[in-house]
Amino acid sequence: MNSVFYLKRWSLYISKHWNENKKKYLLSLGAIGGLLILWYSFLMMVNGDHPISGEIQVITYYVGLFLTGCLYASLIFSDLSDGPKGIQYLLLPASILEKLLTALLFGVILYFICYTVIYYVVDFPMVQLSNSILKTVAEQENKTPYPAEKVANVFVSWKDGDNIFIYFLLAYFAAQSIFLLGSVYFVRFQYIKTLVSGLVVFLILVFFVHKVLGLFMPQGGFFQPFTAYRVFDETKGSLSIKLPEWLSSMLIFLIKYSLAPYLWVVTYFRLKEKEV
Amino acid sequence: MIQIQNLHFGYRKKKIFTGLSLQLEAGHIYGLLGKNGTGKSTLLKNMAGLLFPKQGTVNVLGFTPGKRQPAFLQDIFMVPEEFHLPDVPIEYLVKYHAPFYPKFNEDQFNRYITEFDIPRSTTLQKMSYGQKKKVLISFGLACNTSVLLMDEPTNGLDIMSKSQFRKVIAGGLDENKCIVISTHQVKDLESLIDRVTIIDEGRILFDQTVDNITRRLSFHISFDSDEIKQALYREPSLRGSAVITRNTQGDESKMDLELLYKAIVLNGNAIQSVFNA
Repeated sequence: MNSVFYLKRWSLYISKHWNENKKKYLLSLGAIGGLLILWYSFLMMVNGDHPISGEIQVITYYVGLFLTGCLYASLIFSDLSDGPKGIQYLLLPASILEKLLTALLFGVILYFICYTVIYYVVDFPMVQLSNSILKTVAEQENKTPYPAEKVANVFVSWKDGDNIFIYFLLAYFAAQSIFLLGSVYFVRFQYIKTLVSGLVVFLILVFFVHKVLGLFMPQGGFFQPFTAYRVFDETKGSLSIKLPEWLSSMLIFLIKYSLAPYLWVVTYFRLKEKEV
Repeated sequence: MIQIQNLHFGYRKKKIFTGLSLQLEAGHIYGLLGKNGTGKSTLLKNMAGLLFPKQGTVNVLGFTPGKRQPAFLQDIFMVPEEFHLPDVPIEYLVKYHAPFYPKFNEDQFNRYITEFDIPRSTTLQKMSYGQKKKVLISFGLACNTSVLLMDEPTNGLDIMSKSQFRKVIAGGLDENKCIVISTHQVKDLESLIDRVTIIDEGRILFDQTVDNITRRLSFHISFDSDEIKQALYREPSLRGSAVITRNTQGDESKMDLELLYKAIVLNGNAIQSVFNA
C-alpha cells in the first residue's frame, strides 16, 4: 500500500467525505440558488428596462463565483483550527495528498461545476421570466417591446482575438487557491485574514515595483503588461526594451497557469506540518 | 512499541518536556497520571503525531508519528478528551470510517455498543456527551489498533458507564496491544491499569508496574501510632489513618492509586527510595 497515494483509500475517503458533508453541500447550493433568485427578482423590481441584460448576467456569475468560491475555499480546512475536529481530520488513516486532493475535488472542481449548473438553472428561467414580464408590460402600455434578452455565455467573450473570460476564470482559480492556503494557515477568521493578507502582499508588490524598482530603472514604465519596459528619454524619445519572446511567453504562461497549482503544493506542505 | 527519547516540547514560551524518556510495551494498560497542565495530553499528542517534538525522538510501532503515514494511522487510535463525531447514524460510522482500519471488528463494536446501552436510532450529534464518548471508545476498541491512546476517557461518564468502561477496556486488551490512559481521575482506573506512570513538571516522576508497587508497598488503614509515624505517607481518614508503608511481610494489599499519587507528589523521595533499594 502506497503511503502517499492509494486509489482505493482515496475513494474510501471521498465516499466518507461526501456522506458526512452532503447535507451541508446541498443546502449551500440551495442557498446560492435562492440568493441568485432574490438578486434577479430585485433587479426586475428596480430596473424596468433591461433588468437581466447579458452584461448583468456575466457580472452576477463572476461576482458570485469569486465571493462564494473564495468563501468556501477559506472554510475547507477550517476544521484544523477546531481542536477536536482537527484531531479527527489528521488522525484519519489517509495520506495528506489524498486529503488535499479530496479538498480540491470538492472545493475547486465540483464546486465550480455545481455553481455553474445552479447559476444556469436559475439564470435561464429568470431571463425568460424577465422577457415575458417586459413583453406583457409593453403590450399593456402599447409600447414597442424591448428586444428579448438572451441567456449569456459566461465562458466565451472574444476581444482582440482573445477570450477574455478565460482570464476571469484563471484569476478566480488563483484567488481561490490563496483562500485555500489561508484556510490552513490561519487559525481563526480565515476569510478576512486571507483577504487582508492578500491585499497587503499586493500593495507591497505594487509599492516595490513602482517605488523601489523605480529608483534603479530609467524614467519610463512597464507595459505588455510587465514583459516590456518603455524608456522615456527627452533627447532620444521613447525606447522599448522587451524580454526575449521565449522568456516573455514562459513568464506569462507561468503566471496564467501555475499560480493556483503552486499554491496547492504550498497548501500540501503546510498541511503536512500542521499541528493540533 | 513506543519509545520516547529525550523529548523536548513546549508551547511558545512555556516548556512542557525537557528531556523526557519513556518506553511502553505491548500487552499493558498504562495509566498516565499527573496534575492539570503537566503535559499528559501533550505527551499523548506527541505519540499520535498531532504535535511534533522540538528535540528528541518519538517512535511508535517503528514509525515517526509526525509523518502521519496511513500505515501508522491505521494502527493507532486516539480518544481525545474533547472529540468530534460527524452527524451521522452509528451505522454510517461503521460503513464509512471502519474501512480505514483493517483490523476493525464489527461484531466486537456491536457488542460494546450493546454493553454501553447506546441507542442506535439517533444520529451521533443528537446523543449526549457521555453516549458519544462511549461510541468513540467502542469504535476505538473495535478498531483493534496496536496502540490505543485515551485522554481522560472517564470524564463525562456516569457511575455505571465507568464500571462498563473498565470491563470493556480490560476485555479489549491482548498481548499485541498497548493502551495508554491519561487521567486525573485516578480512582476510575485503579483496578484497570497494570503500570503507573506519573508525570510532573515535564518529567517522569514515577514509573512502576502495579505488581511491583504492591510487592514493595503496603496500603492499609492503621490505628497504630508508631506505624502511622513511620509510614512513607499517611492521611487521616474517618477510620484511623490511611497509610503507605514498606511491604516487609510480603502481604498482598490492594493498591490505592489516589493515595499513591498523593504520596509521590508530596513525598516522592521516600517512595522512590523503596524502589531504588
